[in-house]
Amino acid sequence: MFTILHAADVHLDRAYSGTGMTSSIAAARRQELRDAFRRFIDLAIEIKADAVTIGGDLYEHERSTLDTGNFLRGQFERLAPTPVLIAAGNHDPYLPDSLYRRVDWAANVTIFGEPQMRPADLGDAVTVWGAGHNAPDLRENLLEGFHVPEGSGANILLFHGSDLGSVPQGKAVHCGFHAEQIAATGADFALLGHYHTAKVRDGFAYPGSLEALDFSETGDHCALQLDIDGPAVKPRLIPVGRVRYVTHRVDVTAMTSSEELRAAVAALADPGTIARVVLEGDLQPEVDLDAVALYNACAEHFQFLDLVDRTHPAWRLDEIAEESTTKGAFARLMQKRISTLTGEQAEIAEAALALGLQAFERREVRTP
Amino acid sequence: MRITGVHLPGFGRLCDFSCEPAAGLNIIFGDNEAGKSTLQQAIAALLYGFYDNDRARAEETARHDRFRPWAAVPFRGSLEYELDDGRRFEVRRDFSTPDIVTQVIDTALGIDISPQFGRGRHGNVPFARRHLGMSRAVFQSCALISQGEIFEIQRASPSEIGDAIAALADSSRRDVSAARAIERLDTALARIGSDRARTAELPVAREKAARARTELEATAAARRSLAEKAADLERLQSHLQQVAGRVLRTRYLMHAASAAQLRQRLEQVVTATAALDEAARRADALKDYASLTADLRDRIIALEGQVAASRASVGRLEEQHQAAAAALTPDARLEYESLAVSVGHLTDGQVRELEAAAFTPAGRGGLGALLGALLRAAIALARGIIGLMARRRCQPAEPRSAPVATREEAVAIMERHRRYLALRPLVERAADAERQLEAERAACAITETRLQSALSAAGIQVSSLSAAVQVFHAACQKREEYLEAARTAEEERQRIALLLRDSSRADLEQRLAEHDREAARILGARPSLQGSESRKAPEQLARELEEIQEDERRTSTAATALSEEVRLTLERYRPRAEIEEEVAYWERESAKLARARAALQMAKATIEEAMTQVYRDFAPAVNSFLSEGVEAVTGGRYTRAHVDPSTLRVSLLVPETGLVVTDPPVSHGTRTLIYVLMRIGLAQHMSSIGESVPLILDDPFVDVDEERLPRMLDFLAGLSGRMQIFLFTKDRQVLRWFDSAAGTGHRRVHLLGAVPAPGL
Repeated sequence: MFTILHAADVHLDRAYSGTGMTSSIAAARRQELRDAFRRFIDLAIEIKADAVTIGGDLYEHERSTLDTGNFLRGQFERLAPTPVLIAAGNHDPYLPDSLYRRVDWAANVTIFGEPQMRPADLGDAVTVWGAGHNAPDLRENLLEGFHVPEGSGANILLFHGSDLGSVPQGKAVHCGFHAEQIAATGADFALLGHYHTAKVRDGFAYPGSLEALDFSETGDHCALQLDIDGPAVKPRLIPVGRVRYVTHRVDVTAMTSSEELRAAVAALADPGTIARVVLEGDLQPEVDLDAVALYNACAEHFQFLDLVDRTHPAWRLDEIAEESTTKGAFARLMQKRISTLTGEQAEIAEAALALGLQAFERREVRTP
Repeated sequence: MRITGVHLPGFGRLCDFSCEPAAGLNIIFGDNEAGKSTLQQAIAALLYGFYDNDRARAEETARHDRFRPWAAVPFRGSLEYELDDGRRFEVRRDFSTPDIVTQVIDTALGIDISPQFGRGRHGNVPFARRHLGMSRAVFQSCALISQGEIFEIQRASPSEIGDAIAALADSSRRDVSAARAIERLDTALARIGSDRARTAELPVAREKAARARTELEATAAARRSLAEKAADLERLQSHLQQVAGRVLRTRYLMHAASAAQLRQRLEQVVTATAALDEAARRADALKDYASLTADLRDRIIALEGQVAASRASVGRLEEQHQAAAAALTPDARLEYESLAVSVGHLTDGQVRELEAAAFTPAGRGGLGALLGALLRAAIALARGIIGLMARRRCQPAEPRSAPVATREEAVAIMERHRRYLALRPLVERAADAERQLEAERAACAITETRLQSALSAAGIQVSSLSAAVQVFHAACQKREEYLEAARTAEEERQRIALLLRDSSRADLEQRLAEHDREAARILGARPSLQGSESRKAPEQLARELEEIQEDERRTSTAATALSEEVRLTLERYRPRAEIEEEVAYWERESAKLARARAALQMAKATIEEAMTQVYRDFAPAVNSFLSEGVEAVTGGRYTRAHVDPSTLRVSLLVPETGLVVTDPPVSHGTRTLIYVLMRIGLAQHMSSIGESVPLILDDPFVDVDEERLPRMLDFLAGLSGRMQIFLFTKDRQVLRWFDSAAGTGHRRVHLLGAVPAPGL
């Protein structure tokens, strides 16, 4: 039996700009990605994999560092002489300044950097046909017109592309293909990369991202073990990821003090999770929601805490607007203004209303 | 609104309380702990309930619980009221459960109209807000004037009173004015900062975002530069690879050509060495002939030539001699000798005389002379013969002369002389030939002797000269062979030297082996070179190799430098991800702060606009109300009061000076009256629907002197025609005033005391 251990979409060196993380916290996340890849290599050694394959987006080219290149070289050297086959993806295209072409890789590493299928004979009648992206926006169908030679043992495809039958919402299509095209090539199985959610189908599999990359990536994050026994191929997902992104929602409507709020967030504490706590509902005027203080009080209980304030002040606006006070006049003027605005200006006016009403309270005005 | 009935089966200390207030002034009298405050709270609770919305807050629940009846009576109550438009309602609330079942009965229709107001939980039915045009907060802040409030205001200046009224007008709270709200907004704005500020949050965030963006752009530029350099490096490396291939090929060709050349040289050396050996062997074999010197040889050859020439000359002379001898028979020779004796001695003169005598007629004298001449000719002939004989004996003949006698004689002599002259050349030729022959023979003999001597000197000891010469020639041949062999050996030696140059054959062989080995090694590394060959000389290939290697060195140096550049290009930059995160963070912060600033500015501007609106409407009403009240309650001490429409601050006309003073030094009592008046004016203004609001005064005139109290109560009584007033008091002076001066349309309620508090 011939065993291949496959991973994809590791996204080393990625930026966590959209998660609200500071650089130092993001740096820890990047280290976790390396840790996950190291565990993947450990797993390959442990199961005595006959070959290791990477289905692209191993790292992010624009952000890649030579340090990461050296890290990868070291990891692949640990596997030597076990063959390591890498198909370049849209995030790590095979460009002159890519790590693939700048790092002095060990002899056991083969990189598929051109968008045509090339064979790598692994012995035991197993051939991996790989193709890679040589540009970040490659769109062509890598399976178009490709056929494996007949009677040539087990043929496995390795590339980074989009199964057009199951494109996740918002996911860009790169090297799109139809699932039935895989069988049409005569290949026995296709080891893929691009989709971050693990998916095993008849004839192909996406292992998903090796480690969760953001709050949208829930569930297990895996490597894929492919056992090839003659004409039979058996894929199996093996969880490797350890990082858990969890989104909690806390309704503040019933809370009457910041203590209650802090207790509610602290109750979600889990040092193993990267948590996003969304505060929502109506915030009573007397509750002093100081996001910075709340974060400082609770952050230590999480691996990372992203506090998102989506509360609405529980002002009895209609009641206030009925008042003959300046406050009431202010509320009326603001309501009128808000009704004429849209988009960001409306949001600013909403914030102005809240800040103005806050200013009429006894405490200091706290901007969002 | 006018409250027409209050019924409380149980509410705090009040038990089975019931009253029907008058439309005007209502004095609620009672001592301490009689339930005055409880009744105030009960009226508020009946109107507004205990809870502001469907969610019960702790302090609301606590307040609700605080008013549970002290006695075992139902915790509920009802309040009847009439609106300015004449509609009458009754609100019934059951406070016994948190739900606070509430009904609002339209008394004309007898139906519960509470659903019209949106029935919420905890008795949250906002009918009072609709009917009064104000919220609970506004009602409690503006319609209720507490004693504590009055105590605070007594220490305030009139302008501070104005501020307090402004605060109530602004927010229905005494402690928050619009001005204060604007201050708070300004504080927040200052924290965020203007565009000109340097250290505030927004400029700092923008500066950090700009710095991070600049760094990101620099990183991006470096990345682009890296891409270009990496592409250049690949081109260089590709070129280097080609050059390395050319170097390898040229080196292979050079080694192969060098090996071939060396091999050829070595073969030539071998051939030359063999030739040298052969020549040396031959020379060695002929070395004995080496002593035959060229001089000797030349001399022998010259002598041999001379001998040959001499012998040839002898032969020729012999032939000449024989020819001469043959031309001169012995008889002729004898005749000549005879003639020579007889006429040979004649001189030319004598001959001419004889000729003359011979051809002249005969005469004695002449004849005699002729004969004499003949005689002399005969004698001369004889002498000639003798002379000839003597010459043969190498003795000179003696000249003779004889006189000729006759012409015949003369003719005979002449004849003989002619004959003599004819024979004489023959004889002389024969004699010359013989003489020359002899001389040549003698010379030849001498030369042969010298040749013999020379041959002897050459070591040729053969008696026969001809044999010796033959031996000599053979030796000469050998010597030539020797010289040829020696020359050949030398030539081969020189050739070998030329082939070897400064090396030895072993050196060449070693070099050949090295070239072969190197070529084999290159071939091992690059089997495709098998069969490659060049017509070029190794030296040319070496020059080409040098040029290619120079190119390789240049390319390699450039590649190394570029590789280092590629390695270092991004080294001085932080990881791009980190910078991107920083950019995103500070841009997010900047945007958030900019939005917050815009919101704060909008809030501030809107509050200012609202203030202007409210004060503009409020100030004139309060102004006239205040002026009217001040004159009444001060007994004309102050006749004019003015409220600033922009600040609501109060100014009074001081009669002594005739000046309007913003902050006049007035007594506590005056301040209290001013405040109460303004509060009443405010309360009437605070209904958003213009409904008159029942005014609840919680013993505000405690510190008002006896002189001003009745005036104030009078003023209130007059005012109660426009609004219902509840004056809660424990002051018996007020009771006395009521009994003596209140008149009709007013009511007095006497709270008799309370049920003891639970546990007391």
